[in-house]
Amino acid sequence: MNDRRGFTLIEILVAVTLSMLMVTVAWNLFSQTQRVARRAQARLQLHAAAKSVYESLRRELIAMQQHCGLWLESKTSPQGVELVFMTAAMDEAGYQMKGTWGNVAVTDLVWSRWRWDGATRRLLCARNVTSRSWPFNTSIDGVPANPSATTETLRNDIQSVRFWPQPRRFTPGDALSGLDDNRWQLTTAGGAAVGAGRNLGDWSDLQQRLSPACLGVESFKIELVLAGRDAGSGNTRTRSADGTFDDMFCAHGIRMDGVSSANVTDAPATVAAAIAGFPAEIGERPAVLRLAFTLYDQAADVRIPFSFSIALPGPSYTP
Amino acid sequence: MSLSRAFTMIEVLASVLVLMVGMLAVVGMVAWGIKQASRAQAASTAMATALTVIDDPEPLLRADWTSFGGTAQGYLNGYYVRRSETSAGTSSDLATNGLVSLQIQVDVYESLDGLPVASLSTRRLVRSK
Repeated sequence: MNDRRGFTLIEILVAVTLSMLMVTVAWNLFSQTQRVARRAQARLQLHAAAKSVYESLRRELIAMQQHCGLWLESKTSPQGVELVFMTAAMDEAGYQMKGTWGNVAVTDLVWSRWRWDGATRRLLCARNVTSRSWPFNTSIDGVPANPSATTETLRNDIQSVRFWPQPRRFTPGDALSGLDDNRWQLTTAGGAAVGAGRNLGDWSDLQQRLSPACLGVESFKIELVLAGRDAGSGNTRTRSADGTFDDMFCAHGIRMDGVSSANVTDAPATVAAAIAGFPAEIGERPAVLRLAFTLYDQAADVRIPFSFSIALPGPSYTP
Repeated sequence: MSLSRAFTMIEVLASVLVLMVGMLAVVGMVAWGIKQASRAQAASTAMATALTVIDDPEPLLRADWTSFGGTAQGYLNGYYVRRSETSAGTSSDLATNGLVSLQIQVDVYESLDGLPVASLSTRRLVRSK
């Protein structure tokens, strides 16, 4: 007699049901794990992007010297926030900026421009050292053109640049494009002015070189806490930009705004005397840059708000 | 006569159970790995958050942020942050120049009741208000 028999219908039904249950459970586990993994990975990427933005801005801000400018603009159309700063390159020892105080060779100017574009939700960044192709390839105020301009030969004896006038303060109605609007003064190596203020052309360089630094930036707000308090109330004064209103703020000099006769390496009494002549400008010096932005990963539907503060070089900020 | 026989239902169920436990264990390990990776990466922003708060007790986003005396605490960048300021002593030199010395301590936790992620301590000279 053959004992072997096939499965009964009940056994097959039970087996199929169990199998389907197993497949369903396994599929759910798999898809949930995948979703968790995707969200975790998105969170990792957003944290990394946020830290990158914070570190980049912090590095650039703490490198600023007294001889620098900082522009902050909030625009509603097209919606955006602009943060532009310029400083001088440091010497080889990293001890102080190149050039003599008040005069920096144009080749030693370092620009950095950050722009949040509200329409595309992108944070763009451009950095450069002033273009070496200008103005050395043109004749300026009687100084003959340098025939080797394109090979970056610099006439150190004549062509340096001084921030002009000092301090330069924009009014809220000024356009940011004014940055390259004859705001630069060529000087001799001794500091004497040569000709009128002129355009160095860096702005167009910065426009062209903008490249994405961070994507999926849903909102972006910058607030500058100024070192000076309100004379009447004693409250902390701030200037901000988030793309929901139109405003423009310019601070000239981070350590000693407006001081044209002292260096940070001078004796304290010299510095104090120089600062004493510019109390208003000192008060306009930014002490802290506050930054708040929201990063969004659409695919994983992860949204994280970040907030960082960066203390700028100079006297400490007392909240 | 053949002695071979089919599995019984109990044996099949037991094997299914063992298989499912194994699968759950694998999924659990994957989830744990993801969490650990996430924690490690997030810890880098925790230090940036600590630096932020040590520089500035009033960051732009401070939902549920509370201040009492020299202590401010609340959630920032997904962490629970606690910042405390205490006087680090004074001297006649400091007082003459309108300065005070402050000891600032910042602790960053995964969450309220969570594990510590970053900690910073510094001493600052600030102008007295």
